[in-house]
Amino acid sequence: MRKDHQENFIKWFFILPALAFFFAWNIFPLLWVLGLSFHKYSIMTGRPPRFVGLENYTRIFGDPYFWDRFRTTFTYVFVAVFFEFVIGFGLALLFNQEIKGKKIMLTLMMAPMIIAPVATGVFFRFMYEPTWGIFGYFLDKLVGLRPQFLQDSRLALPSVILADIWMWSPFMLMMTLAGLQAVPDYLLEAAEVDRLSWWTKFRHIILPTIKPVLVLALLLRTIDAFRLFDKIFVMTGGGPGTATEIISMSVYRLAFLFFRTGRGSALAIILLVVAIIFTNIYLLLLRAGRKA
Amino acid sequence: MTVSTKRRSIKKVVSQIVAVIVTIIFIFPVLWMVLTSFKYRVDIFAMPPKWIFSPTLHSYLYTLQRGFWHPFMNSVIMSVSSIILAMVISIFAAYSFSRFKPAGTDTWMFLILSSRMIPPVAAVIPMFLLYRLFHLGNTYIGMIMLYTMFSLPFALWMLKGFIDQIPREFDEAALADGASVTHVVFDIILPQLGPALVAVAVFSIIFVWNEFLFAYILTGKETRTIPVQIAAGIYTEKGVDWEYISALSTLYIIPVLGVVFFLQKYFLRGLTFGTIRR
Repeated sequence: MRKDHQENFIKWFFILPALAFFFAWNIFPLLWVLGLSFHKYSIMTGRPPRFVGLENYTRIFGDPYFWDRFRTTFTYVFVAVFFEFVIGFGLALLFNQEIKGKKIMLTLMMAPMIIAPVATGVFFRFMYEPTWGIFGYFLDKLVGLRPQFLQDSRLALPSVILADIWMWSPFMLMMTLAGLQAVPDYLLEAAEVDRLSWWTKFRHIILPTIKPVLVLALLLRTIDAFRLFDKIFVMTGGGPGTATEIISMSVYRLAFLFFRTGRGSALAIILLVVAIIFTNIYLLLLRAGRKA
Repeated sequence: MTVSTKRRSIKKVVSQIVAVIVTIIFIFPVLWMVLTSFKYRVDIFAMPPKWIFSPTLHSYLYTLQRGFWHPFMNSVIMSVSSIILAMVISIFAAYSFSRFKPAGTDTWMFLILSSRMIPPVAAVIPMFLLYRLFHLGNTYIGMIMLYTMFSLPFALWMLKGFIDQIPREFDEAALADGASVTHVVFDIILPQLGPALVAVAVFSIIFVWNEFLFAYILTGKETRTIPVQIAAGIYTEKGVDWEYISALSTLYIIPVLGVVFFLQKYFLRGLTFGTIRR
């Protein structure tokens, strides 16, 4: 009897610090930002927040400017994740063969995803410099063009996406490769004996094994792409004009440059909801895959 | 037969060549920045780009002078303390979640993990207000606590997964002998958690060492970390200060690259989040 009591105490006592952190640094701030999103408030004036109901939200949804920012965000996320997936998958098939020096190559290829996004942004900015950057030099040699990568409003978004693809394709490669290596050898050997076509082998033996890890990789990448801030901040600051201004950049501008904290909070909540929706779509896919 | 063997060996050679080219492409931006950091100013802006040049430590000496140690030590202090704190907190929580399975364990675990998915810009607004209210802005303690929360979800998940795999008989035997629960955690569970703790540390260092937005908004002159120093130090009156940026970012990426390369076994284990079991 006394033992049960003691166990009950220890059980919660051990968890308490973790939960306290979770509430103080996650739940409480999220509730605060949710509350702020219904208020008119500026961090600068010090005037108390004024309740305005849904005004911040209706203003955002009624403003074509923000719809444009959403379009930029979705373009960024889908183009980047699509190419990362395709390139990573292709590379995984390549590296799943016998290749000399594979281990050292894979080790080197981990660098892009480990390096801080701020540093990545700086590296690419350096290479994109219009007059003396190395990318401009290569393009000039190859096709006689010297574009203003980050200063040209048509090229800025693709240029920023390219940096993302560089950074995260190796992640897709590692994940897919880990999946491929977990495919049971005896099944592959049996397929070899039965002389199954590459496609049949892929469809019925490889894909079922690697599907969970692929969905997980896509989930992590998509969510992370919605969270993106640092790289764009360093590379373009959202410019030129609004060419690379994704939603997280707009939140930052609203809240910390224009001091419209309430409006910024509402936009942050919308971004959060979008991220949650995508997470749930992937989780459904994961669960469906597990059942099958 | 010979045709097919020939085709196979051609395929092998092509794969080998493609693999080498791909590796070079992916490592090139890093290499280029590192090379740049060893160039004189004139060589940095040379056109066509200089592949061979007389190397110099000029940029590094200049960087040490313009500001390196202070933000570097700030980054080190914040990373190390927050990771240790996160580990201590999550070992106990993971043990309890694993062994006692309190009501709502799965829900709590899921909620805590999903907090990693929150876009940082959504959290930085209330965090700014919160830290202003409690005077935690520009303090070490404030930043360390914040970064502890960064590492906590992943640490908790990894450690719970590991503790789940440790047979319960071990702790039950010790408890039957009259050992306390704390004793079980320290003397029976902890010694077996080595690899898990390394994996947690490797991942946390990537999260914390590379974090920018919160540091940018919440730190001040005294507590500024390197990523903030890079972003804020780009411009000087003579334009972009590439000597400083190249040397500073090279010094910045070395520790984390070193940690991950030496401990990559653990890194790869954490990467797939336990989806792949072998």
